[in-house]
Amino acid sequence: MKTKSRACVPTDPARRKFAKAVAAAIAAAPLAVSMANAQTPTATPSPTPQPSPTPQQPSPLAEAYAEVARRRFGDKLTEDELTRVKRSLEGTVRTGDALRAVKLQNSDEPDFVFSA
Amino acid sequence: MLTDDIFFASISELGAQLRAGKLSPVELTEGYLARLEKYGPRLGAVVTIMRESALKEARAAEREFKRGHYRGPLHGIPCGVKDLLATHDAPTTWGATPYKDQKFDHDATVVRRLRDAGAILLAKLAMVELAGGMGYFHADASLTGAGRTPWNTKYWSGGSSSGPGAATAAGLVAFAIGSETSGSIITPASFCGVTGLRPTYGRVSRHGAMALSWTLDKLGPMCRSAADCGYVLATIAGLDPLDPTSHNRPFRYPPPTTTRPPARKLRVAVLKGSYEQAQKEVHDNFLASLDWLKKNAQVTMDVTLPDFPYGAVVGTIVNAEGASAFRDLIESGRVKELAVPEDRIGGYSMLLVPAVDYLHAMRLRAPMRRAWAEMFKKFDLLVAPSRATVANPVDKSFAEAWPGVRATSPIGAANAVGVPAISVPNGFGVEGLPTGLQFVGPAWSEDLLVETAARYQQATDWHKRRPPLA
Repeated sequence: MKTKSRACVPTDPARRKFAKAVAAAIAAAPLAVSMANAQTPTATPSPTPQPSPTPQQPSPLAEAYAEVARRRFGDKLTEDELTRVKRSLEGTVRTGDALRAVKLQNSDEPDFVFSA
Repeated sequence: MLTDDIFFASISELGAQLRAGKLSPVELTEGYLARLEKYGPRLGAVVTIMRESALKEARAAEREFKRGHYRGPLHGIPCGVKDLLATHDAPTTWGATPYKDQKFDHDATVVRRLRDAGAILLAKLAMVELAGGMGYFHADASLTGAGRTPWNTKYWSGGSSSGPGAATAAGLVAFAIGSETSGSIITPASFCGVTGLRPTYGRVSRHGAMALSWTLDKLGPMCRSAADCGYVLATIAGLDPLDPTSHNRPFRYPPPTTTRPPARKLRVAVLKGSYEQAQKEVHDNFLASLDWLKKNAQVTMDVTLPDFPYGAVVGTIVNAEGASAFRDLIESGRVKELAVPEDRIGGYSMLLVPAVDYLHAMRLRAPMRRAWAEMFKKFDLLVAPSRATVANPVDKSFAEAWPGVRATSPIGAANAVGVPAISVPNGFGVEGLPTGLQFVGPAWSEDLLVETAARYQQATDWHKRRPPLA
């Protein structure tokens, strides 16, 4: 595993520059993930969906996703549109909660088949 | 001069007259083209009428008939296809302005199979832009404006196969091909009063069809009877090397006698919550349909679906796969060219669906399929109203259309597990609008679905009613 991950580290300057640019571009994404973990503790034995926030108060996670949307697509969206995207992202958060509420076994594979 | 009786005739009736030389395929094609030109635009049902190529195909059919060459039940039968199927001789717009000039150099496999069978392609039919993938909630979410049901043009024809539903109901084509990711055949079939068959995932090749969701998209017939659906499905079904998800499961129509359903009574499950609080006429018509079923089947009331978050699964899959399929459109900003505001921004949140959520949804599909297979060991078919209401008014958002109606629908769940369904008209509701009844079966049970729906239609005449097209 270590060897594999080390093999992915960019070695030449151009690739390092590219990796740095990518890291900067997705800076907001780890924020969203960390906030998600903060809001939904993984230690909970039976994960349950969080209560639906009111439309006036998007969840902190939706706010975080909205910030990602602002950074990635802000030049194409008005403030009003960003607000509507945020509402839609609240739906994404709730949908993710509903999915997580169903426990899966490690052996449950995605229902598609890759063949070489 | 052809009469309405011809334009609303079944495929087998038209075929018999064509083969007997009592009807010319050229005359029939001219007649349908005239109706498409007259009524198609006012129903918002048509994108491109293919007059020249259709007449060329009709003349070829006529020559073959004169030589005594008969290709099969669709030979000389005029049809239309939803404008998400590639055709080499007409634009393929996907119902969306950014693709209004899009052209392909090939036919989709379904189109090729129809043409090989001698069917005459009259038109590319209207659809909701990008098959509704961006999350529309208004009827006018289309390059061609709102599709209208011919039963009352103030009301929507349903989506996303709006044109196939309306054109078939209005006798503008003998049959049509629609597509369903989650509800896009069953809904317009119900709102337009036609018979729509959503096949098992993998039954019909998707090659050459616009991809919204690679693991949910299905193509299927929209016709004026279950028997017609059988003829069309038998033509378009089957393995296609160009679509690795397609299967070589046999489907023949009429079915060979050896594969007819067993003599024992069918075991039919009535979906709990699907009708009790539906619109009153939908409720009443459904109970009347159950009365017929109870004479012919062992009916079990109040059956619930296996407990899974179907909506979350389908929503996550459509959002993730749809965002990937249209990533360039969304990220380039050209998505702003779409018709309704919600479609112009819906893609941005879709692009942010976490990969683990998508995979979680895909991992849930296997246990869901197993649970449904268990359910179908106890029952042959599941039945529910096709929709809990009649068609929506075109001038209202979907949320405002019929407030207060609450019902469980099997549509999302059945699409998630990839099983087939057929919707048949079963009466009328408010404003003279049709209602529908859907049968859902286990994977690869289209023969049983068509047979059951055909028997229902032998006992009723809802599918023979004609809309007022003054």
